[in-house]
Amino acid sequence: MILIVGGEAAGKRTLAAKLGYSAGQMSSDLAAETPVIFGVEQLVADYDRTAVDALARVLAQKQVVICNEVGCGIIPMQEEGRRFRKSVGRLCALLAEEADCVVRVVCGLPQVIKGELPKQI
Amino acid sequence: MLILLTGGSGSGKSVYAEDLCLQLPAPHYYIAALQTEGDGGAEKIAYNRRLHQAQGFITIERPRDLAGLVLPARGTALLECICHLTANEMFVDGAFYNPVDKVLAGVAALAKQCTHLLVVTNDVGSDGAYAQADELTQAYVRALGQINAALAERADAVYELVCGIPVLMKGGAAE
Repeated sequence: MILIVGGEAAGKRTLAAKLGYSAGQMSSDLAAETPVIFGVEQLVADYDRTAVDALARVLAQKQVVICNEVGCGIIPMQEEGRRFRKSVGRLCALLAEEADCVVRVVCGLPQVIKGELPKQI
Repeated sequence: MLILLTGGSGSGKSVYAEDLCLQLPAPHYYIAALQTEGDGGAEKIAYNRRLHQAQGFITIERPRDLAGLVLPARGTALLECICHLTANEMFVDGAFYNPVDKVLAGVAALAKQCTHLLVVTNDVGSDGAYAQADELTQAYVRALGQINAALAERADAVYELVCGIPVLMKGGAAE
C-alpha cells in the first residue's frame, strides 16, 4: 500500500494519477471498493482509539490511501477538534507503519519519506 | 546538543522524542510545560507522570520560568512542549507579555545543563483560520513561529515528524 498525505489541494490525487490510476479507480467512499481511496480523514468519525485502529486495518488493504494532513495550524479550543486532529494523526501513523511507501505532497511535489515509489514519476 | 522535533498533532513526535531521549545519556528528565488548569490538564499530567515514571524519566513540571530551573545532575532532557511554554509565558494572570526572549533564554539555560536537550514544538502557522483568529491568538502564532525559527537555527538537528516518520530537516542523527 502507498500512503499519500498532504494539505488540501496539494496534488495528492494528481500524484495517484501519475502512478497510473484513473479517476474511476479513485473514490472517497469505502463501499465503492476502488483501489484508491481519498479523503480518509472524513472517515474518522469515531475518535475512540479502537475505532481508529480498526479503520486503519481496513484501509491498509487498499493499494493507495490518500489523507489530508490536518494536524498543523492553531490548536482548536474545542476538545472535539483536538481529538479529530489526534485521531487522524494516529490513523496516518498506523497506515505509515503498514505502508510500503509513504509520500508527502508539498506544492504538488512528492517527497518520499518511506520506501520507494513503484515507478519513476 | 540541541535537537528540535516539530510536527502536527498526532504526528508521533512525543513517542519519537521519548524513544530517542532514552537512548541518550542518563539521567533522563521529562520537563513538562503543560499546566494543570482546564481542558483535562490534570488527568493528562497524571497519565504522563505515570507513563514517564514507568519509562525511567524524572518528571519536572515547569509551566514557566525555564531559565530558573536547576537540574540535579547533567543528563538528557526532553522538553514538552514549546507551544505550552510559550502560551504560559505569554498569558499570565490575565496579563499579556512577549514570550519570545523568555522562552529562548530558558531553552539556552537548560541546554547548558544537559548533554542532550530534545525540544518538542508544533507548527501552528500553517492554518487557514489564522486570518480569522483574534489578535492575541495571532500574536501567539507569530511568537511561536519566531521561537521555532530561532530554535532551529541554534539546533544541531531538526526533525519534522510526519505520520510517525522522522524527516530530517537539519543536521544529523543524535547518536
